[in-house]
Amino acid sequence: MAEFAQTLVNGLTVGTLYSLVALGLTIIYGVMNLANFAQGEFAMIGGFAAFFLIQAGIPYPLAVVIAFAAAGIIGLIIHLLANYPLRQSEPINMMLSSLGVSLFLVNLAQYLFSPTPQVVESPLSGKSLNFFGIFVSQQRLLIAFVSIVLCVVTYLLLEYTRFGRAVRAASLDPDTAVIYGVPTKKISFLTFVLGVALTGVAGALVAPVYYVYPTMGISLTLKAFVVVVLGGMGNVVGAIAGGLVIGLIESLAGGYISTGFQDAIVFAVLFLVLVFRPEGILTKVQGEKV
Amino acid sequence: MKREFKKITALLGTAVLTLSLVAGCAAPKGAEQTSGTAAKDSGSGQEIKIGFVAQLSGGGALYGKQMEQGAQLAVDEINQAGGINGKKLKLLPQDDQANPSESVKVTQKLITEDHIDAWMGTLKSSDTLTDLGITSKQNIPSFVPIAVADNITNSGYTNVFRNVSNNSMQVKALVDYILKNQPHKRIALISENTDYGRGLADTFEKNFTAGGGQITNKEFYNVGQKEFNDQLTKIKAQKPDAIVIGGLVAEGALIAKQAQELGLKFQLYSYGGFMGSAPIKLAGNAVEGLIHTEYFTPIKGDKKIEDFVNAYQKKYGEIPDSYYSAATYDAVYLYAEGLKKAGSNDLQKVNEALHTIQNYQGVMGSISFDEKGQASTKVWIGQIKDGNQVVIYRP
Repeated sequence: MAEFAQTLVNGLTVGTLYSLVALGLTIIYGVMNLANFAQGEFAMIGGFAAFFLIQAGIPYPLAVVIAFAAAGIIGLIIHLLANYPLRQSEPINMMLSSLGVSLFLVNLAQYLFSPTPQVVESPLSGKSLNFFGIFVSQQRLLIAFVSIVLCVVTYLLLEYTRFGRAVRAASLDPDTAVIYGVPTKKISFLTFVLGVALTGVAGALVAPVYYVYPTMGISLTLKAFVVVVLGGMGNVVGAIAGGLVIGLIESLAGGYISTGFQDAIVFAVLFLVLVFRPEGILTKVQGEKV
Repeated sequence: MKREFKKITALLGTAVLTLSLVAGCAAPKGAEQTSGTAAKDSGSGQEIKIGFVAQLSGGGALYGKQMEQGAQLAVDEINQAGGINGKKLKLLPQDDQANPSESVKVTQKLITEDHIDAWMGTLKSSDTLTDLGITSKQNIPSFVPIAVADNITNSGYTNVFRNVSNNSMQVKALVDYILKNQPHKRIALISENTDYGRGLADTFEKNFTAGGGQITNKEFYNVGQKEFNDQLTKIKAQKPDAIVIGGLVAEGALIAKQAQELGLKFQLYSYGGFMGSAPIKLAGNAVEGLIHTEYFTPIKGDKKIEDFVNAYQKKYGEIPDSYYSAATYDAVYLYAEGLKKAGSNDLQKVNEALHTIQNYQGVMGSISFDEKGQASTKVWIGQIKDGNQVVIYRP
């Protein structure tokens, strides 16, 4: 019983992290129609930002906030260089451009910071809580907490603010939105920066649990894509729920089937979703986006 | 619009599945190739040339560089003492970027353009095996100081010499040590999902159960994985006495950290991946007390080791804290011993002479080659104590 509970807890804590990365990915897709293959690299940027800030003596919580800003600023530069010039062309061009951005950022980081993993210490590193034999690391609880808060805040922002309405309008029908006076260029620009900055926070949060190194984002991008496809491309609630579902599938598959086939099972789920429900499990048949 | 949306989703899914395959083997790539300074003159001449192949750029370059430095130190010492058979040794380093096709390419180049008299390499067993296929056709004496896969010396080559214990010897040494010196009888295995990791797990299980022990779990993980809570939760439920990590330090350090976070207080064991300072730097107090097999540690009190460490530190300004430089240093001296015994650098004569070497005293211990070219070296047992590597058992 304790084993089952621990397996669930493991799955949910990892799942919230997937949700946060997938959230950034899905709002970018919703507004810009861009499948951003460089999403995970912004986690790497956030991770390295946290690493260098802590080296410089800045307290961890502040480092996380600055990591959000750092990923956002680099996202802004990337948007101007790699996305904006391609705004009129086919979506696939921008997707390929993002793949290029991903390779460029990984190689740049290897050149600047070396491929050796770096250790990031947070005040919660190595500490865990014990609830009747179920152990949760405090840093992971922090990741779960911050992820949930950011997911809720982003959801409320999109549902109830002027900016959110503009984002939803731009994603549903960009042409009509322009006619109604929605500044879609500005909106897509803000969405991209927000989307990658959220992932930057994810990077700074996982840094003390894993390590920081240039290729750390690749596996996150892959997991986020699985989550987003599962939840429906561009569907915010779908991304959040999808992250938790993938986290749970992973840990249950590892715990009760085989740890050697864990990834194979997750990707088999992706395959089944693509075959039977390519619009995503949580998307209504109308195809509601954002 | 909806159909296009479906198309894009399907396309994306395919792309993600494909990329996941790529990411599985995405080793960190190096910045630029820095190939060694190979002399262009051909023919045997007055120099005896040792071709050296290892990763000298990118992720594993740190270890490749240590290998090169150890070999170069031995070459310099031998030349300063007057060389061998009236000739000087020369090391020709080549970067293989830990890439099998690159490894074959530079080995081929060393043979056809540089006409090497001996070959030495590499960091990876798989690359070493393919390279040996080429050097064996020319019967070039080939030294394997680092790679430890069993089949390197089980492939029927008569020109291959390995002066380090192979995987099976390593596992047996660990099993013997645990059965004789430790109270742990129920052990959980967590190993990487590769030939290397699965080989370690199977050999350990066979030897340990034969010795009266019990294996509670055999869990696996993928190289590059960062999340081990699921494996560790399963292990925790079986309440073993100890855990054996069958993998390298990148994942091993995270396993130790996450085991600590999950409240697992079992003794940890592992293999050569936990040598040196890397595990302590990466996992801190989570690896405190971990016991692992060990090939070389710069310990005090052994003249041969102290001399090597001092000479190395004088030349490169750092302490050789693991076997990468010690093993290549020994390999060059073993080659020199073979040359001396053969009285020339004739390939066949040197190969035959090397097989007759008995109890050569290297920095890593006494070395005798068997008919397959495998040295009967002893495996040490090391432990991490108070944040330092110490040797707790040296046969």
